[in-house]
Amino acid sequence: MKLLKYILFILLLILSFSGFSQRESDWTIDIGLTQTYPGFFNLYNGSVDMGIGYSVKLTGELFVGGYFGVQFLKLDGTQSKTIVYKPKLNLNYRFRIGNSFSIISWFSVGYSFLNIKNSEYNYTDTQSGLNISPELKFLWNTQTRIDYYFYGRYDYIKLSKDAGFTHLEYYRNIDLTSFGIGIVIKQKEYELPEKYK
Amino acid sequence: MNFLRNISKILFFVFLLMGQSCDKGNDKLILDQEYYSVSDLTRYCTGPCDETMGWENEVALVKGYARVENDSLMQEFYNKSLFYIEDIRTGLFMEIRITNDKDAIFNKLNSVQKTDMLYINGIATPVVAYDGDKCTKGMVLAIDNAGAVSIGDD
Repeated sequence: MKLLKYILFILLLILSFSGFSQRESDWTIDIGLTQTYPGFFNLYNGSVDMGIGYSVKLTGELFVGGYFGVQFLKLDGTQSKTIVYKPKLNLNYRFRIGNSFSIISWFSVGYSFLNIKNSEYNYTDTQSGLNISPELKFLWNTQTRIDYYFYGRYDYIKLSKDAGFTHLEYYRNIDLTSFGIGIVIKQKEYELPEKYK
Repeated sequence: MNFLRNISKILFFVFLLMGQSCDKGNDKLILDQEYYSVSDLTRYCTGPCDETMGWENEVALVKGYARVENDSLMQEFYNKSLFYIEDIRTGLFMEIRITNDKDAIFNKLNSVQKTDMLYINGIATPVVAYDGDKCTKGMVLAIDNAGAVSIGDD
């Protein structure tokens, strides 16, 4: 239920952002591949990372938004699987490189939920914790309503203490990265800043 | 190029801050007080080969699932001298070394269902492993009687 509440909260937040539709705003949808690092998921293979976000312009090239991402992790040769739910809020800033390309730096803060399952042993557990996530997107500005990008994302999740899960801080620090592609769907055409026209 | 410098500065400080929170911590496990997961014990009971660690030859309690292959314990491969328990969440496993009372211990293990959690009370015994030039100490758990193994209830 806790997970559902947070997801609803983020969705509500995204919807309330979308109320500013007269302002410049955009949707992002992306999909990529996840990598795991030493720690609890050391032996797991990352697979898919995907998500959807909504951002509205605050000022200049600065945007604020909400994002909901999901990552799938699998322990090879077993039935152990983990799904990471990552609702986040973010600030993102667009650095233009001429009028065709931009680099967008994102900084997100959220609260993630890890649903760990092994159907062979009827094992299921949910752990959660604070998620901090810097990200870079390399964007191709098409001058149409849809832009395309490559992204690199780092997720650091600090799981809350739970002695039933682990007694070691080492396993509560989760590091994940993902790289992939995505699209930006603009609500209306951006006005290029004068210097890029 | 100013914006690239700004990005790299921001990222540097973000990663610096994260590095602070990513250290291993100073967790202290009291090995004979409660049953720890295989992952916790295998992580905690490590160290350099040239030092004697506090956990060596101490009583330790561990819980996990018996590691099976082809639906059977691997005892026949090792002449009933050891078996493995596993943390099914992480895939990490630990060797349980049997120093005495082999038949009684394996008689007990034969009644174990795959989904039964095992609770084992043994002695943390150091073993060394070489990885190229580096020598690392880890642990196996030594048991010498069937009473050291409980099934499904701690």
